[in-house]
Amino acid sequence: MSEETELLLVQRTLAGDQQAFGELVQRFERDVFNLAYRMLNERTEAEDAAQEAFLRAYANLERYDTARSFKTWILSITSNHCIDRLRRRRLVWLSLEDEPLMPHPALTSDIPGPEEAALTNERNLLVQDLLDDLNPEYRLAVVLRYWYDLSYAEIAEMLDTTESAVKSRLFRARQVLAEHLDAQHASALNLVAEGS
Amino acid sequence: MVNDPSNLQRRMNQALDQALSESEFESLQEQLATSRDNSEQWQRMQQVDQLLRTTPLVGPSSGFAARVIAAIERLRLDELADRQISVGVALGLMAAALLTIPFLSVALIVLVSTLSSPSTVTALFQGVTSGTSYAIDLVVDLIRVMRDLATDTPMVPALLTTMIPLGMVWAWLLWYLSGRTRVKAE
Repeated sequence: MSEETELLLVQRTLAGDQQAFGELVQRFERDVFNLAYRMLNERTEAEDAAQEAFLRAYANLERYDTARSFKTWILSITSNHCIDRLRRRRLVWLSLEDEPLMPHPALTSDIPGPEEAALTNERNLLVQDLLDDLNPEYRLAVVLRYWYDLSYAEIAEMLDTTESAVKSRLFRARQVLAEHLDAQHASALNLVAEGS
Repeated sequence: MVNDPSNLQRRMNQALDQALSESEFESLQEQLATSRDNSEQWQRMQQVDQLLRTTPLVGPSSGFAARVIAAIERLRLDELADRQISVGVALGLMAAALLTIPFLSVALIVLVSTLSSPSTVTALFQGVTSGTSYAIDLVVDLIRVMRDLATDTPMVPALLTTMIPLGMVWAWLLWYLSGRTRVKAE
């Protein structure tokens, strides 16, 4: 599907065609969910965040600048929403420090669903563990760079910052990740370092 | 400058972004070969890079798009309901205003006609003045009676001020004791 088709889908949605927005959701659900999951490291919350991102996009579709790619726009909405959620989560943790919250029974089930089973492979766990060691801004830079192959300029535009700031975040993030990477894990995953 | 650790880190980062020329990359490798620590760090950075590059996107559970559309539909229905409620409130306020206007107009006309007549205003003023002086006389009389009572029979106010609190204490004591016996019986 080309950019032009995305634009047509946006225009159809603005004209009241809800099905057109459904097509946009289907097209970008994987990108949006992956970003939310990598940022929040919790599947149920990631689905909520992804849904919220699409709802916000729908509500603000009139403000979408058609000169930009829809994917970049929706990822930008998702990243802002995830950062907000992480801030709120930190506030909840701080306020409940002395009173541990019992997790919802659905989240403590020992029986994984088919999607969960696919997710619980060693590589994914390792990646999420590593990402968890980063602060949200560094994590976001890493996720956008590696999973979406965005340039420094595109990431800077999305995060409303400068290219040098993005470079610096990614540089620091790589250092932290390298420090935290367990050598045994790396060899178990067959990560053979080769010269670039 | 080339041996500066921060510069080395920066060049490792550039190498991962494939932003170094062939000669720059060779120079980096030569420098890394001279230090075991740097070489190990470079290896770990490459491992992280490879791990991140080869980890695929994760998708949501099935039916996600349908759930988003259903949520949008609910949002639209809620907005429609809110709009209907707003229209209802606006119509109600308009009806109330329409019903109130005749009453307000009558009240305004009466007020204006009353205030514009000098005799009515004088009568009103006299009524307020006499009412106020009557209330002041009443209070003065009451104070005088109290003062006479305190001067002629000083025992009466003394008894009143002693007996009232004592009576209250006795009443409370009886209530308290009867409550305790009730609790014990239960």
